[in-house]
Amino acid sequence: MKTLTVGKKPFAANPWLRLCQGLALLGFLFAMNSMWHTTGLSFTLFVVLGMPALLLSAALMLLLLVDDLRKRYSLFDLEQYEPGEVIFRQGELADRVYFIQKGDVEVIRTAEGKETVLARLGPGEFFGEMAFFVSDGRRTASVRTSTAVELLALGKENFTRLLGAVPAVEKEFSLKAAERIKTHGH
Amino acid sequence: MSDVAAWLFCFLTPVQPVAPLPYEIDPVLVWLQRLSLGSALAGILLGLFLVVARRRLGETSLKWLCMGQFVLLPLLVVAMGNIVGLQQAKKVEFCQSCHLTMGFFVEDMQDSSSQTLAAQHFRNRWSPEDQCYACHASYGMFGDVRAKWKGLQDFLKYYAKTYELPVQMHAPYRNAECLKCHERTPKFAESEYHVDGLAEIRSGELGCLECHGPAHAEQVISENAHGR
Repeated sequence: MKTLTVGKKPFAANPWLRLCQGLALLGFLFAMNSMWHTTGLSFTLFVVLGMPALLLSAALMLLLLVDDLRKRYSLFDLEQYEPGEVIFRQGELADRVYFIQKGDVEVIRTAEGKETVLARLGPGEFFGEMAFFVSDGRRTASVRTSTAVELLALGKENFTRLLGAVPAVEKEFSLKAAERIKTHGH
Repeated sequence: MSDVAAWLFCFLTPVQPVAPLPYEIDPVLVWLQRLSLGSALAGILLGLFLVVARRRLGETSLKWLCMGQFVLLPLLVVAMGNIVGLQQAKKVEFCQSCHLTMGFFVEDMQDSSSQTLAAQHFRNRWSPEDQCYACHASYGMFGDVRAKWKGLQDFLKYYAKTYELPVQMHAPYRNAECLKCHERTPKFAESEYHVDGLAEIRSGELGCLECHGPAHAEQVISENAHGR
């Protein structure tokens, strides 16, 4: 299974860091030139080139840090799957709930060696929540991608907290789980 | 080619027409200059360290160092660089570093035998420091910005070689530059010409330099005067 998780790359690998370094180095050099011996030319170069470079570097770094924080502490992971990949298998321990952003998936139950497609889900729908409502924390069905798929994955702990914090969301998920049980069995 | 060399190594350009006396050196400015130089140097060294070691550092350490190198030090350098730069911009050597044709005026000002107004003010220490700025910088609230903007335009004209000869003042010299120091002094009030003609002097109908000039020695401007 090939899963791409976006947003957890090390900060040192961020390509924008090099641009920041270049801008800051340029700005510091012009500043040193101007401070070492202030002439009309050196001060103008500092004001026209050095100062904008330093301010741009500061602004860019703040944006990078904020963006990194946002990604690092975001509730969701972004996962990408190729067509035909199995996202999880029936009977596995459940650790997350998925929300479909792009593409379609098939929910498949296997009984006595025979596969049955229970549902086809698309963008805006979610799956993987059943394990937290109805069973011993194990997947009640497998899910396989039909097309290239992009999913937002919410971890078990965050999902549980979300349900506890927002009763309306818990009600929504419970109703959906009940509906799915009614339609497809446990 | 010499322009390129001057552009690259302008910090080595020797422009020292007037050596300041010890008590004319502002210790706050000196320390600010040292601090900003040190900050810029620290920024460069820290940057080089990050280039070499950023992948070996922990995430948190790297972010704190980046915060220092790319946010705190640049803001410090920009703030102090402007304060120091704008203070240094009042000095004679700074003015002369761009106003190349006026080197002759500076020499005349320092000539102990010259009878021009600039030389008398310099010799008698009526303008003890920042002599160019003392008489030519009554800019007002937004005047500093306007003057720097105009200076930037002249800078670009000089390097693009789009200026026209002879170089002229942007505007006639204003009496207000003289009156800001001289009006209401006993010596000014002694003269009946000043008392009787005060309205004309204030309005600029009667120029100070018409009676007291010339401010600077006459200069023959040639194309050669514009080279460094």
